[in-house]
Amino acid sequence: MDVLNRMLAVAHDHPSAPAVWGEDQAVSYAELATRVRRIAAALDVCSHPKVLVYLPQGAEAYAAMFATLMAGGYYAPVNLSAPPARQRSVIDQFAPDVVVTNAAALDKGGLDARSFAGAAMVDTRRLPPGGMDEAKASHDLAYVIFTSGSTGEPKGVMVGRDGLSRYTDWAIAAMGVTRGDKWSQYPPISFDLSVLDIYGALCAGAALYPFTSETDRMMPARAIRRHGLTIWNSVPSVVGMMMQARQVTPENLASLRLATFCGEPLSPQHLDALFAAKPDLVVHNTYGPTEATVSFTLIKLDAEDYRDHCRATVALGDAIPGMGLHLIGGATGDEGEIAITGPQLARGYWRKPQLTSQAFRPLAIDGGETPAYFTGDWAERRGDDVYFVSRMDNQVKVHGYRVELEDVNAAVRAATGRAVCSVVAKGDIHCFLEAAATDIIDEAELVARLRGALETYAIPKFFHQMDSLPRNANDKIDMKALLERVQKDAP
Amino acid sequence: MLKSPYELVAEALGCRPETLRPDSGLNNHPMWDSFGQLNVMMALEENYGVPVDDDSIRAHQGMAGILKTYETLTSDAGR
Repeated sequence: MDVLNRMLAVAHDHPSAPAVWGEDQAVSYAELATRVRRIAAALDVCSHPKVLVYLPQGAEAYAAMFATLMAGGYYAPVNLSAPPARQRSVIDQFAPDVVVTNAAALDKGGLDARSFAGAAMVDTRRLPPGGMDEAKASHDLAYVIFTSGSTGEPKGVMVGRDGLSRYTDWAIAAMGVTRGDKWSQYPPISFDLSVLDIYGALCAGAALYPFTSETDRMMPARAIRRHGLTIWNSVPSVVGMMMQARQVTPENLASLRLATFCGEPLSPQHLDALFAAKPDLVVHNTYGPTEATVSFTLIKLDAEDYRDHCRATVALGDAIPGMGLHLIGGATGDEGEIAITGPQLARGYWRKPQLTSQAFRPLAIDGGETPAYFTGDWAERRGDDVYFVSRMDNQVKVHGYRVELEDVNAAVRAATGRAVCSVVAKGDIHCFLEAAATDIIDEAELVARLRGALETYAIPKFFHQMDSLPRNANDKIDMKALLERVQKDAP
Repeated sequence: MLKSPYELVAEALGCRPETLRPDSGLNNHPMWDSFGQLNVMMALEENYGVPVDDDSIRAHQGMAGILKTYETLTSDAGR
């Protein structure tokens, strides 16, 4: 069932049920639907409008997303915390017909209305009266989410509306979501993990709790307790943060029935801590890139059996119905690059046909050819389980976010004019710079300059100066030697 | 005896104290990211009794705010 129709049906059947909680009060489903209809009417400036959602996570942003679908359009959400240059790159590439925003969001994002030249502006605080009664004919796309690109320019993943609706139907059934559920909304709306929260909760009548306050974001387990949340969805490193803050306690997790993870490898230590605090918790580990509409595998774990599915990381699970996970190019059929097939595949990259044809290629299966997305993730099968092994390129994950190391190197090179090479060890980016020992680099000043070019999570945590970077026999910078050096020195 | 702010923050971030300056803070020091800020707040709570709430997190996102809290605590203790 289409996601818009699902949400409107909930609003029709349960108008007073809480849809999105703010600090003190909830927006009901009836209020959400009214807001969706009013924004949709304001978006009706052309057929299939391209809509930029320039709002912080919360009821207005979610309403803008559904409103775009109602207006027959598709949207791109922006991370208001991203450096202005990054935001502008997304805006320039997407070239929206309409921007949904308000003064507070513009202030938070650091841009002004002139940054959106040529686009119609819809102010969520000054909506015209009236609303859209009937949804317009839908577009093939639902949204375009921009992720890190190897050239330093973000690339937009075009996700289809059918794929989104299909994924949402599956998620609601697999997670057993009910109207009684209270669901966290932790990931930023520019990160596709938020898609599960927004559509999973609001298409099933659950109450969504956006984590917007500094305290909730820093101490999420305390917020789980305060709100009595039943469903938690995040990248695994947030559990690491909870563990670091000694928050993974029976008291904090008492209300939780389901924790679901995606975006980076889940570690057995995360599960040890979660099940020790909450033995009857169910954990869903899922895997999937933005190009497969959030995720396409699932393994359900409980305290009794989770150790059977742990190696260095936790198993990725099986492909969900209709989707396919294939290991391609390995010496045996039990290892290889993960290729994905099925109806959740994205339509490619926004206005980047070459990149699209590189990553989305036909896969020979059973004598025929099927469209597939080649992830660049190498995996191995052990028994019935598939485990992530490593990336095949320079892309890494930091707190679940994609980072292209060449993107980092280019920014540091531009800021310093020096030869640089970055590697990742234990989730931290280490950047090596070629500089004489007497030539002291001011790290604080360098970080300040990098903030203008890179997302916060992509800024290296460690800088190392070397007289000269090690080279291999082909005179290329020897990344293996650099990695060994940081792994040897790491605590 | 309270730990000095530079010592406390350096320990929380896992960096050398000499890399910290009065204007160091969240996202302008290599180690001071959101995870680093969590460690800083935990250290402030444990050592200076600073509560973890929105106002306090905003007030202690840099050395300047932490130095101010330290000055208040030490001057109160001296009275």
